[in-house]
Amino acid sequence: MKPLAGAFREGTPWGILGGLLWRERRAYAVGAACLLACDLGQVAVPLLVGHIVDGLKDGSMALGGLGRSVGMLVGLALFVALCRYGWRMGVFGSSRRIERDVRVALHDHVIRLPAEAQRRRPTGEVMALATNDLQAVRAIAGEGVMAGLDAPFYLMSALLPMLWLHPGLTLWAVLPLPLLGLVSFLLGRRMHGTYRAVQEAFGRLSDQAQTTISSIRVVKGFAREAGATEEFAARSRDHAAATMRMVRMQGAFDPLIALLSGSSTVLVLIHGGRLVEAGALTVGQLVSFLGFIQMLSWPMMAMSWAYNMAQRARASVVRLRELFRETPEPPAMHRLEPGWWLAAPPTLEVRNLTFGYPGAHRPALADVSFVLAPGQILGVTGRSGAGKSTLVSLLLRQLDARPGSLLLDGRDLGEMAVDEVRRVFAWVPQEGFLLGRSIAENVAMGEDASGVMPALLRAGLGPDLALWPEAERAVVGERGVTLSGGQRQRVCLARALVREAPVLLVDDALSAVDAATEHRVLATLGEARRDRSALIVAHRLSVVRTAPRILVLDEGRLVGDGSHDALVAQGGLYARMWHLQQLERVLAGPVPGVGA
Amino acid sequence: MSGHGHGHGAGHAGIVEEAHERAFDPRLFRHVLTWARPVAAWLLLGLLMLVPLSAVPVLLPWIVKQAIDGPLGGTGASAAPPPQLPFGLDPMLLAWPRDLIGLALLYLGLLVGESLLRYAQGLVIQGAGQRVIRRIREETFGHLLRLDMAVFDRQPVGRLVSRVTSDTENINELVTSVLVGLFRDLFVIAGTIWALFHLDAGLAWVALAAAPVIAGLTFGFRRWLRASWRGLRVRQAALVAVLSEHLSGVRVLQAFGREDAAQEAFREEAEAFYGTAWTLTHVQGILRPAIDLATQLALAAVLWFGGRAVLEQGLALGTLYALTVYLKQLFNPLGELSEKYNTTLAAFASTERLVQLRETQPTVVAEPWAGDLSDGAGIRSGGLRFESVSFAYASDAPWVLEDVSFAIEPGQTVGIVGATGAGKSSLLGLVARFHDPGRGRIVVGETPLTAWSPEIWRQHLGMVLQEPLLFRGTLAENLRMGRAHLTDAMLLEVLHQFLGEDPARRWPEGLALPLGERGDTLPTGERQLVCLARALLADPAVLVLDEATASVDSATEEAMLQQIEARKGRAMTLVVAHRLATVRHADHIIVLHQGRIAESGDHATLLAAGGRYATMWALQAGEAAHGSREALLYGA
Repeated sequence: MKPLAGAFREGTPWGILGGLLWRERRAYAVGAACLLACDLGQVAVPLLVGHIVDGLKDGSMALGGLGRSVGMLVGLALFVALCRYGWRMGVFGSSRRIERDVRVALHDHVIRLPAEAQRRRPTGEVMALATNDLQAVRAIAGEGVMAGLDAPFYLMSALLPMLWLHPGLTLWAVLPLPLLGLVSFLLGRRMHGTYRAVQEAFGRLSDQAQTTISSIRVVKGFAREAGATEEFAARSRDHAAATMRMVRMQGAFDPLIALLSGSSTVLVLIHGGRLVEAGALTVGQLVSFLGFIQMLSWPMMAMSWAYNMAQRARASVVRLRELFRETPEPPAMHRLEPGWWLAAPPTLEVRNLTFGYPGAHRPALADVSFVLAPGQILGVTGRSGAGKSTLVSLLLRQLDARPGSLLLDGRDLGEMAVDEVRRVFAWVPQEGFLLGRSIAENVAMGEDASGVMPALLRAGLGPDLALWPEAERAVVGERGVTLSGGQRQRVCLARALVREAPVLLVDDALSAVDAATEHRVLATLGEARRDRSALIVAHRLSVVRTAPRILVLDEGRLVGDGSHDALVAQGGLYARMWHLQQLERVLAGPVPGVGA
Repeated sequence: MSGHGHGHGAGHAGIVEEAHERAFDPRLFRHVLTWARPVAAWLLLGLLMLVPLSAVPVLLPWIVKQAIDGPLGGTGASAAPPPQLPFGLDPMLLAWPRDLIGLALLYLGLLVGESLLRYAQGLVIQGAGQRVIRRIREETFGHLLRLDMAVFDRQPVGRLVSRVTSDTENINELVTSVLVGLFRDLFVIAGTIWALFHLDAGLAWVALAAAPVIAGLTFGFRRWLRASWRGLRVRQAALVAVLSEHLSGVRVLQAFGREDAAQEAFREEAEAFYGTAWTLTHVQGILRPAIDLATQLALAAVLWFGGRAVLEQGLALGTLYALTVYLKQLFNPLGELSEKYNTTLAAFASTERLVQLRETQPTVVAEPWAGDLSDGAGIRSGGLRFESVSFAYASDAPWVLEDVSFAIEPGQTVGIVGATGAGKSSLLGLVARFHDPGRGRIVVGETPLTAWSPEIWRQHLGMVLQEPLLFRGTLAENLRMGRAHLTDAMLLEVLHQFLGEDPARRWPEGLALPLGERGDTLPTGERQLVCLARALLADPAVLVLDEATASVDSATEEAMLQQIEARKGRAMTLVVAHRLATVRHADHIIVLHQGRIAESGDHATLLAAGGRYATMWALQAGEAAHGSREALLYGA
């Protein structure tokens, strides 16, 4: 079987949908067989009732015959019940499996997309694909397939006995059917249109509420409560109007169908009655006919229903295909021995690095060069927007740098396999992202569990761990331990420390840690480094000031390079930042009048 | 139609809020009825229309029965039977047609009448429902906006939004679909049972024997079915949670090479979801056919006993036919009862949440004894005083401001400085009456601030918040903020002053310039400028500025400060700023530290005191010597 993602990339929308159904062909075959058997079983019921009526009328049926017929009816009912269970499991079960497989394929594809592709698609958009669009695919694979299969089966199994009973009368009975099919097809389409209009109106209503409530301070501050309510009311009126338009359309559907299928009964009653009077048809046969007519309207509706569902599924498949067509990380040109750096820690060289985001009018980094030797500690600082995080993203290959500007022991980072590059850096991200798992699992992330405890202690979490018993096994988040921003950052730091990577990459990851803890953590980090080098990015200068060498970035350019004392003495951006941050300390400090 | 159930859609797609259910509660139901009162007449009409509507399915098989027994000669005896009518309507409708054409035309007439009536009934009920919903929605929204700021601080925006969107929608569903459907089913069932007994009491009991079986099946399965539905929702929520976690943390997953592990975790979750979905399919796969089976067995029983009655007692064939049709009609609604029950529970949960919200009353209101202050007289000439004000965000939370006292004379400016978290923004929030003090009071002239209704008080206030928030719409709409007396010329004039150039040169669209979501089509500096212009436009009596110039370049800041300066003496101004240069000319400066006033006085006094302010000034002077006008502190 072809992998799903591949099938999604290449196929036409219908081809993709067909391929999805084909995966479950066995279950569908069983389901289809059950459905057919079920329809045939159901058709026998009007025939039997007609038979009983005739037998009773002309006196040919005695109590024994009646018993046999009723017994058959009971047997049929049991058989039909079993078949119903069979097709439900066969068809609906398959639709659930298809849903599951596509969902898993989608997830696996998305988490392997390069950062560039991630950035283009907001999380909400991917979530909508994985829920709403997948729902449309499941609907066609379940209810859609059922309706599509059942309609012809059911139609045939009702029409054939009718034709056998009386072809002429059958013609009268099916007279309204084409009209019924047309009505349900056309109305079904327009109903969907009005339904979408309602959804859109509902979306605008929600947006309006969302915007107003999230700006409540401004709304209240300008005493705009009445005006905002009026704006919301306008959206609410639009929504109600759209709903009424849908109701006017939808409300016509059921009565029209009932009227059209009922008119079949009228035609059969008139024409069939004449035939009975003329002796060309028995009363029992007429009763059977009336029973079959009840069965005719469903296939017509089912076909148009399946058609509309298929159209919706097609649109969803096109959207899904777009996502599947995004290319995951490119493959490596050549692979290295695992742990190649263990013998000799590598040197990282940044050479005339320039990078601009698409659509930005100035580069995020311009002509930055430096060398990080094995065992060296380098601080990087600058104001927000200086390009610090861009540098980190480029090193991690979340963004692609110009070839030749990032070198690891002379090797271009861009030519290495992405996962190998990432194994070189132990990254501590800015956001403090943790999974909803235990602290221990979050720190280990697949590495050996024995390193977890020492790493937690080195990250300065010793006192915190003492406060929560069993904390390293407790789940992070609402159900378990709730971590403060600073604690999160330190767990992320521990996660990086566990890794045997030659370069520690800390991206402003102590911003929420208080000064005393920061001091303690920095001290232990210093001990731990030895042969590992470290790049420590921070906005807070107390974090980088102990580094022997500090780089200062401003608007993407390297504007300072040296030790803390040297940079303060130079009086540039670094010195100004240092003064301002000292000022902030004074403001927050415990005693008035403490100087810089 | 057919016995195929249209598979029920699997709950709501998209982000699933943990689904709540609420048992039937008469108190909640009374609330729904109260809301529906204005359209009671329409709802009643809709329900009344159900009576003839539910008579039609009872009458149609009767007509066929008449045809079979009459013109088609289906009676065992040769003589046509006396016409029988349901509902004891015999005397009135004795003139019923007895020939085939007449009966067929009657059938057609009933069908057409039913279709038209059904359409009309749908419009009546839905129209009434929409009007109720609109009213609940708009009233609730208006109510919500007037609630205390504390309500908004405590609850996520999404939750409040769902009160006026999905919760009201659920109530609409309850009224227009579930309740009306229930009434129709009840009427049809009652009519059918009546007709059954009218036809043959003995056989009616045989047919009804299946009813307890079906009811038992639905209710026996109800627990199982509900458990499966709930399981599915819980699993779906978990699945969505894992997916969104992986999406938002994708960079970390990739950086640590954990794609395979993430894949495994998601696969497990998807598998578990499939498991519960399978169970639900299985349960429904048994329940639906079981109900059909019970119906079929009842049919067999009726045919058996009815057939014997035809043979032994000369029961009319048409009667037998009608019995078989009525039977199906009787049991179809029973199968759907449990799904309707689930919808009802969800609607009650929504009702409860809405009632709770609507019963919450704002505490920041005008004191009833205060009388009419709507003209705002005396604010400008009265001065504003904090008298030992303490404030906490919740009764069990620590004080954010403690024992704060100071006064602003008419036309004066007060500068407020302090570290992050010192209580500066909270103090401004008290002036705006976003909150009321926990202890002490704020006095305007001789009137306590609590005497004003917050809405009226804020009409005399000009505010610029830390975050420059604008709305989607035109520049003019954003500047005007509903104050209709502000003409375009006034807006343009203020913009001109702020920009120091013709606004048309900066923005060729002029006042019609469209702004995006939260105004994000403008750079932060311009947004802040528009926010200040918006605040100054109505010539407010009190001006509240929270870091209003934090993210603008020096030239713009200069222009903004000039505009504020130009209004000096007109308004009482409270300025929060990090940069001391912004507040140094204030008549009075307050240094806040951990919620208390650490120092206060004018610039010179504070410098002479040699305390915290003096130290800060010295540091900033050093910084100013480097010539920077930018606030370096505002990093990510």
